[in-house]
Amino acid sequence: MNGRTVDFLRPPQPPRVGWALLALGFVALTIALWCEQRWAAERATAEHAEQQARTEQQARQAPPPPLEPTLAQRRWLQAQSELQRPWLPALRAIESATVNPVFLLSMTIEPSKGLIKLDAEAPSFDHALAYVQVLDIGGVLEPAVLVSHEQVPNLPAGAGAVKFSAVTHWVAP
Amino acid sequence: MWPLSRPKAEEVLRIGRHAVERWKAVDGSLAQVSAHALPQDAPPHPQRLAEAVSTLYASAPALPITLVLESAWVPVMLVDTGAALLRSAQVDALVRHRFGLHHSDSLDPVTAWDLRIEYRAGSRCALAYGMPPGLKQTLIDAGRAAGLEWAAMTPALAWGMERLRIAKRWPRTSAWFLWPEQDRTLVARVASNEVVGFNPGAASAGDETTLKRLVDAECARLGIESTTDPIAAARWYAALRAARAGDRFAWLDLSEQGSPLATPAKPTPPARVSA
Repeated sequence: MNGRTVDFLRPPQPPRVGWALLALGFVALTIALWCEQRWAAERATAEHAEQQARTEQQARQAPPPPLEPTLAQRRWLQAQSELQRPWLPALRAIESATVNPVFLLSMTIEPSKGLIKLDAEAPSFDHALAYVQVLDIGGVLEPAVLVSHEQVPNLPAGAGAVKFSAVTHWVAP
Repeated sequence: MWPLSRPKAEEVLRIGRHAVERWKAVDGSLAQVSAHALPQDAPPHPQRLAEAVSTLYASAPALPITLVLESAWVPVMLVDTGAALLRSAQVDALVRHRFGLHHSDSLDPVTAWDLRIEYRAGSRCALAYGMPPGLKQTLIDAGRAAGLEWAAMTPALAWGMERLRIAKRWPRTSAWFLWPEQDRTLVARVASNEVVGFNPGAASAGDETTLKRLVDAECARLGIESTTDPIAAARWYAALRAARAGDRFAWLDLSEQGSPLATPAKPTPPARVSA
């Protein structure tokens, strides 16, 4: 209800104060946009500086590189690793398993992998198989694998023999 | 009211069905200076207004004059715009159609009328005023002939609602506003700074009981129950006794008691006729 607008003498038109408010609003909007842009730039600069400072601080607080071990230390570390390998239990297990009529022909050990390769001879395949099965008794060696076997004649005795190869690993402590 | 939009005119020419009255503002209150009776036995004719203007203003005043036209000359109507959101052109067409239903005249078609519509987008009601072009031109010519300067040409209801600041009186509640005209009473239901119910042709009434009866009839017509809403009735002449405190009824005086200029005792017809 605005009696001022209900005037038949003049065509209805928005009041001047409306134009003034519109202009004021436009100016306020322009200022707000300018301030927003400026504040955004300031915020970006501050965040960049803060990020740079954080990076520098992290760089200052980075742990020093580890020192190179001396020759004696390297030898000691090597000896430690050698000492930790179960040489004696493994050899003892092989020795206790290798009994007559099975004879151990050769043995190859790769310490880095813990691999033990055995070449042996038995009077029959059953003896060879029994030998392979008893190698892991005691828990020092892992269950052995019969890799190959070969029937060879034993000329002096007139009876044959079985040469076989088995592979196992020692159990790391 | 905005300071820039405050009307500067100090002279008011009230144009009603029975008389043309010249009012003057003194210290913010209005006082009647003179009046010119219009013939009652003939339909209202704009040429009678030209004669009244020339009679009332033998000499041109220094101040511009606000023409306050009552609804006998400038019809007012509340149009139900429905729930749809209408454009200005649609509201204009709807109002012209409604005016045409009640003021159809082949010599003065509504299509040529000058309209002023108070309509808020989304509102269900539009308060419309219609000015016949012949009347407007007659008043302009009469003012020019008498050497007068018209400050505004406004409907009486709109002028009274702004002068009495009806919109500011009940910003959060609904109320009844009764506007007195020389031949009728306009009953408006105001809610949230908007007229939502309107009777443009209630009977003339000068006492509180009759006016309350008009409000009760309007309540029944609108189908609302309004027993506590305040009722404000405007009047051109000052009250001899104040309204009772605490009552929902209040008088809003356009003139005040003790005015330096003479105030007639009877509202209508005018006290002094200079014809």
